[in-house]
Amino acid sequence: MQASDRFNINSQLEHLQAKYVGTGHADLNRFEWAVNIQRDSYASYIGHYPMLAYFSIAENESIGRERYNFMQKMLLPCGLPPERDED
Amino acid sequence: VRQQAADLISRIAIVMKQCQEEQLMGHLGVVLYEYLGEEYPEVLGSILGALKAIVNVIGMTKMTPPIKDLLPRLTPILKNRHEKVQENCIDLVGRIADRGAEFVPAREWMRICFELLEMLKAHKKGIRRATVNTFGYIAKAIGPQDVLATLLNNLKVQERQNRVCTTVAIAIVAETCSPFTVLPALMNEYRVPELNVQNGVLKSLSFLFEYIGEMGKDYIYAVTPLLEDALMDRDLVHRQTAASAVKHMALGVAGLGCEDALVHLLNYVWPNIFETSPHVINAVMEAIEGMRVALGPAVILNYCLQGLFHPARKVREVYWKIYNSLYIGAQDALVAAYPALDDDGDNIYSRPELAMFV
Repeated sequence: MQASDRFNINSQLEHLQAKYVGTGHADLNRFEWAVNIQRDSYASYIGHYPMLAYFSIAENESIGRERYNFMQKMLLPCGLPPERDED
Repeated sequence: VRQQAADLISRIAIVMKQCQEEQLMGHLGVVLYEYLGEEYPEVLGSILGALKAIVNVIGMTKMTPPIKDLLPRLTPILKNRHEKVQENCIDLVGRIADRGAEFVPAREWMRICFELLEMLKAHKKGIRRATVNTFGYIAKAIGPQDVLATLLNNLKVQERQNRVCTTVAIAIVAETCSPFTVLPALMNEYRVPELNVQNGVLKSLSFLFEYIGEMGKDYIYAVTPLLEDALMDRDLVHRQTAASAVKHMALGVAGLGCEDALVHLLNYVWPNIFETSPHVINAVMEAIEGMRVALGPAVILNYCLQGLFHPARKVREVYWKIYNSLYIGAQDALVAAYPALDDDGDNIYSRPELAMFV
């Protein structure tokens, strides 16, 4: 791989990351990937009204309350990041 | 002056038709026919343009001189190198092939096919496109077998652009006459142990499936073994062109029940993801994206998961590249397909909502 390609690829990857938050790279760890999965899932639940309605019936909650709960879970969906082993 | 007179005939042909002057148009046709021996290319091009206009106006059956006399005179003109002459001549021949092919014996059409092969090298794109379309018309008129034999022989020549245009012409013939008339001969040609011929066959298949789209559904199973062999070849170009063919095939038959063959081909495409040649890796990545459309993102994700967290960075980079394309292309659909991750101490990875049922 040429030096210019390497530089190009890094800037391309940064651009990709900025534009599509859920994309990843070789150094992404399991926790970060799982966070993306959780956020995408909640976005999908909220964004597809029939799904939201279904979950509301299953949990015996109002649709608005269910939506609120999902949006709250967007913050720290997997809890705090695990301690890094290197530290 | 002769050039301007011929150009004037081109312009006023429609008006004269409206004024019921067909007899005079026929006479002008005979006069122009006599001038086909013209030496100056500019004038000859205009004369051909005028003849084309007259043919359009009068029609094939009433044309004077008769088509069967006119076309043989056009055959040697196809050799002319001048761009204007080539363009007008190929347009005229193409029109005759389209509307009045039955007036000319098959042997004459074959002779024209040989001349058209040289036209495939023209610089102007319009000339090459008209030539390729004319191959389609001629194939429809005299049957694809003879045209195909000529084109397949042309795959053995050294000239690269000639070979590429030949593959396009083969694809056009397949589209015009239905692929089942072309595929057996094309696939049989792949057995020739020559690099250019095999690559030409693969490129023809790629163009063919790109053109016929959904029509390709009926031919997937016939072509799969050939692509299988190509995707295993040591030659980079074989695998690149085969991956491109797989891409067009997958996009053409998305949702038509050919998933079993496509998964099989995906298993041959997938090992190529570690190629470093730019053209090959681009073709492979596009093939995988085509597979995402045809097989669904869930299938591709399961292939991808094998290497997302591989201990070797080089491997991870490749798999994340595929994952990123997959994510960009079908992010919402992946929600249903993500793997079930168990909770881990203080961290919550599970998604209990997806297990709910009413």
